[in-house]
Amino acid sequence: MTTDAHPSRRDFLKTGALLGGGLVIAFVVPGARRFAGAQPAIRARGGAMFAPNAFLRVGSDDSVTVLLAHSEMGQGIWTALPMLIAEELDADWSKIKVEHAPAAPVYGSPVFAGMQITGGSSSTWSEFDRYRQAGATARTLLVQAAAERFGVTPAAIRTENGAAIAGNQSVRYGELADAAAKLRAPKTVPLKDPKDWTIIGKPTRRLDTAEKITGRAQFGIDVQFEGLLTAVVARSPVFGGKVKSFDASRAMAVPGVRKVVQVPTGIAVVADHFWAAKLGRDALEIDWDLGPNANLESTALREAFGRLADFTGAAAPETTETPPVPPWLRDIAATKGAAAVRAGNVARGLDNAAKTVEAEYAVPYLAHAPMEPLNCTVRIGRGKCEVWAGTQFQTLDQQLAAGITGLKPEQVEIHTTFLGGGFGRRANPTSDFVAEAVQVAKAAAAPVKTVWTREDDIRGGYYRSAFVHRARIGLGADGKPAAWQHTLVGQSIMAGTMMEAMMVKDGVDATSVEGVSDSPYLKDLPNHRVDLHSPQTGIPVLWWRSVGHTHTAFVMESRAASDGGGARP
Amino acid sequence: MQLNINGTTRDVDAPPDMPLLWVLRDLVGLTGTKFGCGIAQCGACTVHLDGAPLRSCVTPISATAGKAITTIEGLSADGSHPVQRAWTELDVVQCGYCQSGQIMSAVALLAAKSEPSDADIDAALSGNICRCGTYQRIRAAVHRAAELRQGQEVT
Ligand code: FES
Repeated sequence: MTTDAHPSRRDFLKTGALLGGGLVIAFVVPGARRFAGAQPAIRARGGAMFAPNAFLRVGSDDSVTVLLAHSEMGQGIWTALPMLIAEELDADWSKIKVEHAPAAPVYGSPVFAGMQITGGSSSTWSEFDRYRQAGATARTLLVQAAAERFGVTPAAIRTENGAAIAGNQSVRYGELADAAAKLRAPKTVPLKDPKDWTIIGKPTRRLDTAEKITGRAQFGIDVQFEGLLTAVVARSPVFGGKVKSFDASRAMAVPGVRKVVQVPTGIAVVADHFWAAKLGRDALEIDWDLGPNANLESTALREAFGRLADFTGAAAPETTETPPVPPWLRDIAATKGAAAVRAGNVARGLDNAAKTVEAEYAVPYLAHAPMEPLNCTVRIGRGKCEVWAGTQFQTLDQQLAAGITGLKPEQVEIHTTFLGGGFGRRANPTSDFVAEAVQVAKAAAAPVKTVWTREDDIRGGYYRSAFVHRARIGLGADGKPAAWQHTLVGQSIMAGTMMEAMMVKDGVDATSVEGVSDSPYLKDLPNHRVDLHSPQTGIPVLWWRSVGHTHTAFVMESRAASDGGGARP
Repeated sequence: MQLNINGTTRDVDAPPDMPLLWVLRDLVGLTGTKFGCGIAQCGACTVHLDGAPLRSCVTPISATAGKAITTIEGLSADGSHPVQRAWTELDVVQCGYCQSGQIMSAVALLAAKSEPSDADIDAALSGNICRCGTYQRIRAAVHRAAELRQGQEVT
């Protein structure tokens, strides 16, 4: 297996100039070449540094620093991605250091249209080639440098444990870093045969444990620097509400409160520390215009979803409500259904069944509730905006921060910290917690860390949608399912986002029905159908770890357990 | 007001009803103790007061006067405390956000009961939520820490 990893001369020179002195080179690896013009500057931190590409640096102190294009949020890529590089590099595992990469196009995900994002359980498999190629490219250059030093051919060199060896001569990678930095990368690099792997596939202890058991690990909420203030924001008690007027005098009277500023999402109380900001927020008096969702409530939503589940097919059900019906409820009732799967004739299949069972499942809106409440720190300076956040979506954070501050995206520096859990909440189509924090820092004209309380986090939206499932299942004489009619009702997380075109086909959001439409329990049934209604409400919804399966696995496994043996639920 | 934190006396300028959590994090700069809920329901903010576990998010600093406060940073300089070593051996952490609190609760349990049963562990740590779900490894690591602890001077 070989791969093309040849940097253009222009990239080489450009990057060398950026780094001053030519000891460091950086080029983009295959798949990311179209972003070459936006290559980030990689700063050498003392001593010579050999940076064969944007994904690793070899220091003259023998350190190998791996830059993560994805965010560590508990899933373990702080260890897994370095394993890929270390395998091909034959690195000394004890010398591996890890950093989150800055936000830059070169770190775009190979499977998310070049966006720098962590999601879809994709980090390891989607980077499996790219990170191994990065390691293999570095190794090839180090071997070449060693061959020149020893006066032998590269073929006479073997590598192990961070050293290049020829006969009884051995040299550490750190000693070769300078020389390797002056070489041109080969056009192709061989990758190891999987049978030769010594790191990949072997149990390996996490590299982030030491920091996380001593309190040293830096999460977003732990960011501190001189002059940093803390904000807590009062947001509308109802989704879509707006501030009509507010009185900040009692909030300003709280010791430690510095400023009270209005931002698009509400009123921010900016203080010396969290506690003062929170007390100040509690003391705000705000008159809200609650907007169209003023009377939105769970019981009526649940009932409206349940009524939609009565209807299969595309016809919009008739509204059975007696006026006056709130607009949000009317909108839900008018939702048209869409067919996700059609196989055979389900009506006939149900008619011919020895017995039919019917079941309804309802699951609620669900907050992600990452252990670390949402937060983001922003410092806006001359021609520069810095953002510190435990984030899953650097590309959008950067674009939005640029828009709000009037800067170019490359003038926005994103410092990704550890995430105290993400579960999808820290990547969303509006980067809400980052954009708001930029607004707060801008309005306050000061560096500010905006912190959400747990209550803010739970009330803050972007939930897994509530879903109602209704299934009619025809059982054969053997008691096994023979026909299956399944209707789902729940909000689409893709509608209205940049992913809609990719993920919503003929009115069916694939993530709403995954786990049902492709269920192994259904695929062999001659007669089955799956319908979906995707009502729109004022409640923001989002992917929530495992996405559609959060509700469909529960429903399908419950049905399989109860119907598989022919037992009634 | 004076606080005794990890064996050092610190002068802090804060109102007596300010929660210890925010004094530690925002005034003293010890950010290892975490904010998770603010209402003593998640355990992320657990510290020790004279050796006993305590939810710092609902403890006014006035209640800590004259007492010894220990935070995760005060457990060991280098992760060598038996509980930390057990956590390392068993790769307990995931995102890690809850783990300061988990470890502080585990240390307090072992100080009170040197060979805890599963039930003891579940009871002592039930107030510490882990959103990543590391509970099985936490329980195994507490048993391992009990062994490591026996092999050295009791801390
Ligand atoms: S390790 Fe993530 S919350 Fe416990």
